[in-house]
Amino acid sequence: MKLHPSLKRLVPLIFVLAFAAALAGLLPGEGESYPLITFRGEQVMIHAKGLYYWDTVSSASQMQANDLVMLVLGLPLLAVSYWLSRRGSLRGQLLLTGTLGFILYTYITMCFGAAYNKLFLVYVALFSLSLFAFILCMMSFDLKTLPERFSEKLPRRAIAALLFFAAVFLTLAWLGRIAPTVLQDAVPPLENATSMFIQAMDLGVVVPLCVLSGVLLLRRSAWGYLLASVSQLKFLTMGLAVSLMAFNMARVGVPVSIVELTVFPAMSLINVVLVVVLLKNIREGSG
Amino acid sequence: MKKSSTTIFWLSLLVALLAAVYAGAGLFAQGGKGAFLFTNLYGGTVEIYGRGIYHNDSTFRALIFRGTDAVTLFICVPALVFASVLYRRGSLRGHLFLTGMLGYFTYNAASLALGAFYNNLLLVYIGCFSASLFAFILALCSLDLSVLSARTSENLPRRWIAVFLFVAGLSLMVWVADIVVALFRGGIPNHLGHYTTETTYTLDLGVILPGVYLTGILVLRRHPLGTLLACVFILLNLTVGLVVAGQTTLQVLNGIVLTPGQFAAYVAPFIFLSLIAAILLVSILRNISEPVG
Repeated sequence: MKLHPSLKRLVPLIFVLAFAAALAGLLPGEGESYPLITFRGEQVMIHAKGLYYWDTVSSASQMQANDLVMLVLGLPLLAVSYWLSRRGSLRGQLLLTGTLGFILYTYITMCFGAAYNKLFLVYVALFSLSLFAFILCMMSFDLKTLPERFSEKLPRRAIAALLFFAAVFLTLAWLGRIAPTVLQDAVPPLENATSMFIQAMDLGVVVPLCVLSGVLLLRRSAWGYLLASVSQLKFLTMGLAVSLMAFNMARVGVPVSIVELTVFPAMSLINVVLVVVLLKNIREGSG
Repeated sequence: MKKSSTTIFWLSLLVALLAAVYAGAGLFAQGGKGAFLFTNLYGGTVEIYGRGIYHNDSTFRALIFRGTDAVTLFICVPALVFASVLYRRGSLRGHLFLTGMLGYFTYNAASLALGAFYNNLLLVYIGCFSASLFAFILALCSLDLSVLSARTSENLPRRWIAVFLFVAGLSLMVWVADIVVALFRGGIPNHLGHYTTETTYTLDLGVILPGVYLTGILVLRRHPLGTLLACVFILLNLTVGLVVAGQTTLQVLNGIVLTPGQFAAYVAPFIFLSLIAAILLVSILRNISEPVG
């Protein structure tokens, strides 16, 4: 399993740009948040300081939580996993792919969901670089020999169960927000966002991928091993980010649903345990 | 002959159905109080369309969406169904054509799911985006590149294809220009209006631009993946010309009169590129042989 040579340029570039973008988001700014009635008649608090000036207090607190996770966990993992992959480690390569998945998801949400700011082109560059790096990583696994690198003791059912649970939970949580309003011809709480970009990404891409990975893993397909381990390793960083987002929203006084405040951290914790089990059940090749 | 995948076939028909629903509704629904003015967060004035599915969008974007819907409904949905049938019969050209059409629907549904103001069709957009994305990936991965390579004639106009892709890709730099101007002047891009951000710029600059250049290089290097991706991007470019024609028609129907200068700058070049795209697409498909039987 050889890493694509282009990653030698893509990964350091992603590291530098993501470091700059996350740091810029965390820099404190001067200003006083103010209330605003949106176009749709919803009252929101505009953050009015720092890079996320035009975002709401709720959305800025989530983006800053994600920036913090990017700096303290995402980027160190990117560096370590890249170093391990260069030395031919399969665990390293899976972790690299998963971490690139987290960076890709992060900058997709920044491109489509952050109120336009000066770093827009940097977000687009990060979205593009991490998309192509992610595809190259996915293509560098040797699918023929992959399944035999996993031990028979791998708890495939437990991993699949977590993936299915995540799919069902996201579907119910997001459909629960959208479906009732469609019937009443109303608009769900959107703050000042154009539309529901998180729901579009989760329902359109993440949920089908969770189901597909779980089913393929149970069938012992090579794609199942690859997709399931990449999903788990992606959720290692994503889970912490989502949990921290909920806590940070609660900290700044934004109402957070108790279900989201408990289920996301619980899922993240179970995932951490399963990631340890997963990594223990991978055999590194001798070459 | 390689067997066609039933999953891709049925997913494609599902895409056609969902797209027909949202494009039909977007084009024909007209209820509502009509256009009004709104002051956005940044103190600028935005004209809101106020009618139909796109009632919360700006008039500028609502007409773009509706023009695109007309092309989606009357040209792209029938083309997708036709491509699916060809694909099911095991035709290699049908497979290339279908992959390109699925690329169009992924782009179109993603634009609406992420870029149109929230409306009652959001779940339909998401469903169509998801189905077309996964069908597109399956169609892309299931094409046997060694077979494609063997059946591609030496006469394939590789240089013309690459030059066209590079020129068409360059046209996307107008988005960068818009942002750079905004950065220097201070403030927001011209047409941000009351939207969170610029969805089209993200998709075009983040995915299409690098994809188009990568494809041009792969075509010059005689890589069969280049031929496959060239079909996808040239087909997408072909639809851009049609969409611009559709949008212009709707603008004229809505009483917006374009000056000959505007027509020469914003309409004619896209239709011209689209015509060349059509010629190149026919040329690629002609240079791929189908075995008899």
